[in-house]
Amino acid sequence: MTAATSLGYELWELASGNQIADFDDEAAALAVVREGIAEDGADAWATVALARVEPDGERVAVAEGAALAARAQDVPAQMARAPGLRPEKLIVPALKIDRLRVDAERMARIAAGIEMYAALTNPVFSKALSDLTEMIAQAASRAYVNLEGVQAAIDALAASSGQTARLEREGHTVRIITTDETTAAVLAAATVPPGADLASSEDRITVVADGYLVVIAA
Amino acid sequence: MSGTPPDVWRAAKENPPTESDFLSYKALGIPQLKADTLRWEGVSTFDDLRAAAKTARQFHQGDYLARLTPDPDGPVRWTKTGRHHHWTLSGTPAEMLARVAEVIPLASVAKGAEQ
Repeated sequence: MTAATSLGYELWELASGNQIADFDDEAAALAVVREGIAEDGADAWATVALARVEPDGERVAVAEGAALAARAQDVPAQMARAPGLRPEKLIVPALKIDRLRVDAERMARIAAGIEMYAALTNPVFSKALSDLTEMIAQAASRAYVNLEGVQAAIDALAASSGQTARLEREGHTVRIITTDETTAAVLAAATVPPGADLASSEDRITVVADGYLVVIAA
Repeated sequence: MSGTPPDVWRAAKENPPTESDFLSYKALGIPQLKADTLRWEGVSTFDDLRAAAKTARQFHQGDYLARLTPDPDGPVRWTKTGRHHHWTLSGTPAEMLARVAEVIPLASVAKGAEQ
């Protein structure tokens, strides 16, 4: 049975076993899911399922919970995966950075300055920082993080610059902890897409350095 | 609504059912989630046994199906909502529990069985 021959779609709240709403097509249902998650947060929608109504009236589950949220955000089903640890679950890439305390313009200036400085004086540092920011930016945009790659980049960063940096993981939360303000600022700049409209997620990478805190998808 | 609504079926976790089998998601403290108020405050049922059974299996809603009969003069309101055999019941869990006329095991409804 194809989606094109369905007789509609429904959202169900599974903790109570009750219908939320019905729609003519999946796109309309997913639009409501996106809006709802933005308004209520992903946790409120964790027990919601999308069902397709077959011509005989049977309801067929399409997606629920985190998978439904990802479907609503149009996260690709197959993502290119670099070698490394796999995340325990796929999460929505939209984020709410609610404790970001770094000025974006200042971050951009710092990032430009550090790249120029690194390129002129320390190519190993520049390469490590570039690798790390790229992986974190990918994590923020694809809801996936290459932890081994991040660890390797952090090790290279610390070795090349003498900075103190380490990777910590607790459940789905991964923290990159550095004492260097500029490193934290560059990483923070890599995680915030310009003009992004972000929603909250419980999974995050936290970059912490002397009062600077950035939340990134993990 | 005019006329007598049909008997409807709802999944139940226990036999006999309890009031907890007739809770709206509003009663569970869940936000409205873009629903209309009727469905937020109400309880989902089906006027078709097979549809109720398949949905119960699909979403793991319980091992039993309870049949509720309408009382046109009673406190529970039947409203046809959505599509394909779905009805929303409005009332308290106790009032809905009082309308239960029959409980059958979900396993007794064979897959593909007709009402």
